[in-house]
Amino acid sequence: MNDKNRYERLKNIWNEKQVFKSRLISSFLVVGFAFLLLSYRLIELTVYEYSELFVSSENNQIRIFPIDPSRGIIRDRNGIVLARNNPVWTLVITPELIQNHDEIFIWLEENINLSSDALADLNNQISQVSSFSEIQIKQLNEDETAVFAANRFKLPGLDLRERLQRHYPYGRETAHVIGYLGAISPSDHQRLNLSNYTNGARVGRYGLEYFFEDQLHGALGRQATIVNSRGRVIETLNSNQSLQDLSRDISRSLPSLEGEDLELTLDIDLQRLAYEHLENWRGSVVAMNPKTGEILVLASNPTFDANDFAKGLSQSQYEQLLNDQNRPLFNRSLLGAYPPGSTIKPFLALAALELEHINENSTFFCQGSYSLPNDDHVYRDWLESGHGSVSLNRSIAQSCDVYYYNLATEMGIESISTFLSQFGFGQNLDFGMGRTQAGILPSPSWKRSYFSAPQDQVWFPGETVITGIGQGYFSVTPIQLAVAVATLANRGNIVQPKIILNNNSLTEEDAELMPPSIPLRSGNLDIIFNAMNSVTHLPGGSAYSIFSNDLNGIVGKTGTAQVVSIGQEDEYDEDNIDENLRDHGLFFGIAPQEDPEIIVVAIIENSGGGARVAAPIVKSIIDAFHAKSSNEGIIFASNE
Amino acid sequence: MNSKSVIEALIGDKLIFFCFLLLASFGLMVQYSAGNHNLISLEGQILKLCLAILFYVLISNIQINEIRKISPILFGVSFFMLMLVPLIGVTINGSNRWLDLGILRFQPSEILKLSLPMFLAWYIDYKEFTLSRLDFLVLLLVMIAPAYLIYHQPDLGTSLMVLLSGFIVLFFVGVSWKKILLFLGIFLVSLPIIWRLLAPYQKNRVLTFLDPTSDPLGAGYNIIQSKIAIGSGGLFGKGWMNGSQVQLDFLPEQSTDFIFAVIGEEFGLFGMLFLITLFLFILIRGFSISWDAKGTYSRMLASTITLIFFFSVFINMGMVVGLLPVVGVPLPFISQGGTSMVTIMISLGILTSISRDKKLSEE
Repeated sequence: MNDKNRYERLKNIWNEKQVFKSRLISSFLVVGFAFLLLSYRLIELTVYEYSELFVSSENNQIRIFPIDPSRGIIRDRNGIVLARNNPVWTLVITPELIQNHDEIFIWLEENINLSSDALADLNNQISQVSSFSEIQIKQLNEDETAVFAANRFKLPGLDLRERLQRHYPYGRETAHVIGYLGAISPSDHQRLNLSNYTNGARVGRYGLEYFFEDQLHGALGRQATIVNSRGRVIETLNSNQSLQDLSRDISRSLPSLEGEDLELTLDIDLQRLAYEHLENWRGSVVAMNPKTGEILVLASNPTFDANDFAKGLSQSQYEQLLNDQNRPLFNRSLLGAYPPGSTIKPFLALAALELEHINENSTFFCQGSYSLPNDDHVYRDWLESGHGSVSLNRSIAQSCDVYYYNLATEMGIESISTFLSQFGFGQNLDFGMGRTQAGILPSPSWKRSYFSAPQDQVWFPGETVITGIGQGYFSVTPIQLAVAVATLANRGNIVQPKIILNNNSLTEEDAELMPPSIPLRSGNLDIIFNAMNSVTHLPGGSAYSIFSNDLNGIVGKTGTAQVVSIGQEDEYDEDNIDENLRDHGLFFGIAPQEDPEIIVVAIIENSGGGARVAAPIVKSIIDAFHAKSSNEGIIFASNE
Repeated sequence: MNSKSVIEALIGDKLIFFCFLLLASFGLMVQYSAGNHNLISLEGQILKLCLAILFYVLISNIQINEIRKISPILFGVSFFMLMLVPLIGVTINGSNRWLDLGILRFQPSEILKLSLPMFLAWYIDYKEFTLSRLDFLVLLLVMIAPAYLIYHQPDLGTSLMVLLSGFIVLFFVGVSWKKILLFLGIFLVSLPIIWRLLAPYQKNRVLTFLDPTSDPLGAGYNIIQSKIAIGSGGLFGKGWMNGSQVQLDFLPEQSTDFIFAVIGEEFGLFGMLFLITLFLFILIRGFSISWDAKGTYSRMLASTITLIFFFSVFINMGMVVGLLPVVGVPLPFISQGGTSMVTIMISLGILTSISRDKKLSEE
């Protein structure tokens, strides 16, 4: 029994050993297989997936920060800066650098004008953001910046950050031309490549800043940095440094590309002079080189200070500008449509000469009014007593209305509008500042396209009559009138207005060769120029009193545009009429008569007759132009 | 005793000790790199290392017979302490796993990984290998009770390891393949029930394992970042203290559970294979000691210790490379932390004692 037990036990032990050893071998195989599997997985990761995972590890640690390019500088034709970038300073705080929290807050309270709410809010932010991130506190003015700079050493945690802000040294005088910057708006998504802008970047919203956004902006740079998993910047990479050759271009730093500078055709001295004259008036002054089309003055008053926009305008300030009855945001030079009034007369006279309806010696008799046959409507002359027998020269010099009532009727509306359209009336001008107001060159076809009701589309003979004195539907913008006058001064060579001064600008010979031109007979032009000379230099000329002492050979034409039509029996009595309903005064001047170098158009709203306010402004600008070009004058503006 | 035998007594098993020293030194180096290059935090680790060596030397010099005798007491005490944890335990990060003994804090659950197989081996040896069905039921109960307590701490990883250590013993006892397959079948069938018992974060871990990209910034973040770290290290690594994933803190738990990825990023494939080779040496030594072990208790315990060591290494590495779901298991000797290192060194001490027992009996 014992033996049997003992045998059983031995057998058991032997069995147990056999089972154990077989199990040990299988587990050894399992272990071996497991490590083979593990090794295969490691090779898979480190060899086959290496490139992909390496890029992932770079993506993890590289963060790209955009660098704003500095916006192009805008200068006038003499290199005087009209728009530049000024550094402004923003106070920032970095929580982890703070050594004495209370001291900083006491200092902020005493030296920086912050409300207690703002301070509490700041305190809140400090406890919430990650300790290495910067919190912007406030943009400092110059005094505050100086105070901080002196105290900086005892205020660890506070620092200054520089930012560039657009500054316009002549903010009011250039606002309508250069415009201003504003925040990116939804409409910019189509116009601009927004990947080229940082968050919070400001883009051109108006004027040249808007139309030349692409050139002025430049190209965004980028700063590659190494960050940790919480986004703290550990290291900044310079432009030729990359983590490894395998890395992609995006991980390289790239300097920003500065915006291109713009040089304008404007002469800021003349521009400022124009604004001085316009100070108490609503209106526009445009001056141009008739040979090149370079715009020297483009003034529209009332105006606004573009620097207010650069600093950031509050909603109420903006609405105040927007709702101002005098419309300071409205660029009258490009968009204001005014009846040309008598300034159209030289063009009509030229048309009549060219089309041989009259010659230099033709006369009409003016008895102070005009009527069409079979019509009892009376068209008055501004001179109630009439001008008597009027020659072409005197019709321009004294601006006889009846002469042009006759002329217009004789020529007919079709030939008038066909001839005038060659000078750009009724058409859009595109010269890099967007679409301008086209104005209206009245004609039967214009009327048909403009009115929808058939009874409104009929052209009446009386409408031809008043077209002869630039009234009725006729309207022009100041820039349009300037281009027409420049074309006249250029003896029919059509002038393209220019606001950007090209580096490779066309020489004057090139400009003369430039097609297209209006075929005009030289003799006819001389007749018109002589007549315009009579306006300024012949006693009795409508602007003689202004130009009697003129030494610069200025010729020109006055104009008066009616704002309200006077009833058939009523008298126009300026003193008894509401200021807003008074006539607009117009004047254009060309100088010198032989080989003109400058033309100036002034349209002054509600200023009465053209000789009164508009003509002296034109004279003053032409005088200043000559003073400057003959080096007699003083340079008014300088680079600040 | 001559000096040679003194040294032998101190080092115990030369291969195991040598590999351990290499691994632990490597671990210190990697911890230094992963832990913001802070020497002070290494001091504590070195202290624990010395403690682990001390335990190893002590245990390896105790006769295996003595160890066998105290096995049931050890199990009883450790199970008692485990039951104390819910009552007086310390809660860290939402898990109640630690007992505070004043001078040191430790996890009774870690001890169960060793004391449970010790008890099982003792019980089987005590029954002289003739186990009735009732015995098996007792053994299963003894396995499940501590595993359940640990699962409720909650600590799914250790709970599974304790359960696993029990099953390993049963495997070596010679439970037939049929029964093993039956167990596996039951396990698979009960998966849906187990799934319902899992806490949301545990479900998340499994889901993340199945598809890490499903939640790249949440639950999948760890595993994605650790794969990036290992893969971007390439063959030779980015160099010690030069791994961007590690140095810029993209790698989670980089001093503890994910430390293998640090080795991958900074030392590359060859660094990882070197590490695996050292572990393999210890494992092969463990298998050879098990093969030669004398007596049921020694055989059972030596082979179980070897396999538990294997699973500790493999589960950690498998998790880090994305072969297994994320369970919080440290990498022996390399990860920061004391309890698991001390436990493993105690188990290796027992292994050494078993190998000495064999030598003694040969003399």
